[in-house]
Amino acid sequence: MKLNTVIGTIAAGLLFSGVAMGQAKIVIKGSDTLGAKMVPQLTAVYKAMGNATDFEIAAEGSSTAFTSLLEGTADIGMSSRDAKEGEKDSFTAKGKELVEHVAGIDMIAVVVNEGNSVKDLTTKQIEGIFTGEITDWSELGGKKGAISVYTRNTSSGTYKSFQELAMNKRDYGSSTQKMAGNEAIASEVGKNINGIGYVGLAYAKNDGLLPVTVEGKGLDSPAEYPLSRKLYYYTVGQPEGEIGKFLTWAKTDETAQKVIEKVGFVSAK
Amino acid sequence: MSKTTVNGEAKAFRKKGGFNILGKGLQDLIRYFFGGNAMVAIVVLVLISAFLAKEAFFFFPRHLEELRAYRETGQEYVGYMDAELKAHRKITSQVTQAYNLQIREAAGDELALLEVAQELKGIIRSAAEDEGRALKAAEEKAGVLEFVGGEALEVALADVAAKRSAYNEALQKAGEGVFLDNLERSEVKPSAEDFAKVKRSVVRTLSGEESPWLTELEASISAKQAAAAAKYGEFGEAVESLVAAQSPLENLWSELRTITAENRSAVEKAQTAPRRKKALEDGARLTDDPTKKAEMLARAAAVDLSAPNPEAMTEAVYAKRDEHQAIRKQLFAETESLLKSIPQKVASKQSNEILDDLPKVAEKFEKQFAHLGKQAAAWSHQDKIGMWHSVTTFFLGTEWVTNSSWNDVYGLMPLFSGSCMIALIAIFIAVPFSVASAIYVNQIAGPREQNLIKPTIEFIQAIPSIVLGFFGIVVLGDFLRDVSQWEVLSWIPGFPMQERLNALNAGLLLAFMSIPTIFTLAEDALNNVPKAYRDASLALGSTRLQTILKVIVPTALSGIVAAVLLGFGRIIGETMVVLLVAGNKIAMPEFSEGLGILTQPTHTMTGIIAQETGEVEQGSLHWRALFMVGMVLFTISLVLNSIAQQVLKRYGNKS
Repeated sequence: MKLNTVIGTIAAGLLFSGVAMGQAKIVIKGSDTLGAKMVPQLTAVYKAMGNATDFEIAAEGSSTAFTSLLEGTADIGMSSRDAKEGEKDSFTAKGKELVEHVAGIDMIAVVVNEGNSVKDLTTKQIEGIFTGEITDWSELGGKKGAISVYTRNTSSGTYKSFQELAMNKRDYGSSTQKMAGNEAIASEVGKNINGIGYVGLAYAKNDGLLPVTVEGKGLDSPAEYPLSRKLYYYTVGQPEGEIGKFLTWAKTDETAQKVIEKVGFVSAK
Repeated sequence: MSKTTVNGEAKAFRKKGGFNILGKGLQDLIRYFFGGNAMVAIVVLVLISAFLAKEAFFFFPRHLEELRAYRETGQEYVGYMDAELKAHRKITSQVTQAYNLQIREAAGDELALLEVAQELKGIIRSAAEDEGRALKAAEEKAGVLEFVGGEALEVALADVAAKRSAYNEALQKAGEGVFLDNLERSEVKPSAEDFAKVKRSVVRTLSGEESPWLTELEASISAKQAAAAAKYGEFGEAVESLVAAQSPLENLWSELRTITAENRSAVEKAQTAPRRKKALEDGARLTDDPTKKAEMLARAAAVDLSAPNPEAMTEAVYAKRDEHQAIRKQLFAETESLLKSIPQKVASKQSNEILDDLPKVAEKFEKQFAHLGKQAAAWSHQDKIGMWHSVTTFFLGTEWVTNSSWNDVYGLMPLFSGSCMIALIAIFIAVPFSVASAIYVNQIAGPREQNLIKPTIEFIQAIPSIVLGFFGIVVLGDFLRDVSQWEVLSWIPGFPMQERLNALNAGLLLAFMSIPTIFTLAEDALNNVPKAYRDASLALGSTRLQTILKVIVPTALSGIVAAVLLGFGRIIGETMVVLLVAGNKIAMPEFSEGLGILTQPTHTMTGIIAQETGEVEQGSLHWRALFMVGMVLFTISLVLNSIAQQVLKRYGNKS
């Protein structure tokens, strides 16, 4: 009796895993900026175009892309910053090679509450706000009120990119609030009339938010907008098989480029 | 159970014979098995503590290295300049605010209308929220189908059109349902005629059309403000020159900053050089490709292992020292004379409030600036830093800056104070509730009530903390902020609160979470009071209330105190709720606000570990700093637990 049950269970397990093996499954992990809308939409369209590939996407910050790739728990890493020297070293130490693919170009939108009358900021002012030197909206021509600054937390690639792009590499002010993701920043700024924060382009048009123009340049002019950066896919070694096919499609196919632009990024081509 | 009975039983079993290994019977083996399990638990605990202690202990020597690097690269000197600039920017910030507020007030009426428009926009949009969401979903679906085409796309597009007209209709309807009285946020109530105009324009912009009225209004605002700027020309110029006076110092700061930051990365590179060399050598060993192998080995050999020389690094700083002194003297003189040309009174009330405050700000600047000047003049890269300094800057440091491009700072105080503040709020709220309900359930309630209340309170423990955290973000945060905006409550310190996520919100949730712990333990303590005490008291003629307050509670007090302490330990170790709800602002509480600090966002020791361990490199200083924070938490829990046990042992009734 008992033996039969055990054998039955094992057989059922094998059967299920066999079914699962029949379909290729690609695990993609890393940046919240890429993983929130762009990659899910890309994979959805990729599947809709008749590719029998399964995807698993986990977006918990760029740093997790490298740890997961190193552990072998992901096939593709998504990152909104390029790999650090230390990260490359740890791959070298295991005899692996980290290969970089440009996924697209992102613009970081600085957003305020739509009730705010400040609609344009200079890079110098943005630096002042996020380093904590400018603390009141009246200094920027707005209504009197203490500024609430929302930033990403330190495991985010955007945290670092923004520091380099907009803050002259200076440190964030101690009164900034570190939020878990784009969504959290968007909802806090949307609900706080004195809030300001930065989000990936895909979130800039959420309800209640107003993306400010930077030095007079808005998000609709990507070539001149000062706060733009590259987004990356990473793989261990040159990608092959299903993974390679998907990445090539995502990087070069015209439909894929349209999807990328649709979710608010600029395609790398 | 005492030992003799166990042995007795064991002997009784062994008599039957049968199973026997090395003279040990089955019963012995079972005993060893349980004993072994208990031992494993102890060994694991010791191992964990030893591991924590080891990782944390090596923090201090590494931290000392880092502090030395900050000095020897000359970054410390640049830090003084940075502080000087920051001090000066406080002044420019004040005068800019005063000037801007005055200009702004010139177009006050129009801006008030604009404010009304913005509030209306929010009201009307949320009234048509469901339709808006449906439209968005339909558009997204059509967006994916756009790449496939065909019939499905046409259906989707038709759906989008239908949803859009439904949305527009809902907007119209929502617009009709809004009246002047619905405005809460806007300070100025517009006339009925203006209100109707604003409403029309808002509905139009929301349904994606242009509104000429809005464009006109904005144009009139900028015209009026331009006129005001002309009127207050002198004021404006003074503000501009004050800001411009900073630039020489700013330029020098920026120049030295680049140099010293490069120094620092050279130091860091030298620190990691041995590891990089080893990584390349390991990699070379693993690879099969001979050319790659040779290349890696060559790169490994080329790694420079020597540490950079402090004298050479700080040369540039010393060379610029005199220039810095001259620049700061000039800045000081200019500021003094320019401040005289700032008017003391203007038309705007808000501006005047700031201008009245200006002399105090200027005085503070002078003091700070002079102090920084002395520090900069006395600075030398050769000043020694001792181990003690490494310890105190960690425990008493008021800044926690990580993942910085300039210099990481690890100071425990902001996190420690945040944890304590939230825990105190929570315990302050939880103790009355849980102790009172324990007394009620144990002494007053009938059996039916007991059977209802006890399991209900204990059920709270079953709620996962992430669920509570989510509740805090979605429901409690909004609720608290709305309540705090009621005028009747404005006397409460910290009200109205600006942030939804703050210490009070987290404290309330943690209070809720700790109620079952405190309740259960306090109820046990009350239960342990011998029934004879109660009977005796009642027999002597005391009322029931007297018996409870004067006999039962005092007897159980030690148990109740222990319950509160353990509840405190539970609160201070809680992670998920504080991470989600406390607002994550790593700064010392602004004690000048008094009790208002309770509604400020804050960060906690548990929260920082959860937030930052994911991304740190193993073995790095940051990693060890997080371990140190863990050690502090561990120590706090340990101390609380042992105090609770001591209290029970020493003052507890022996029953």
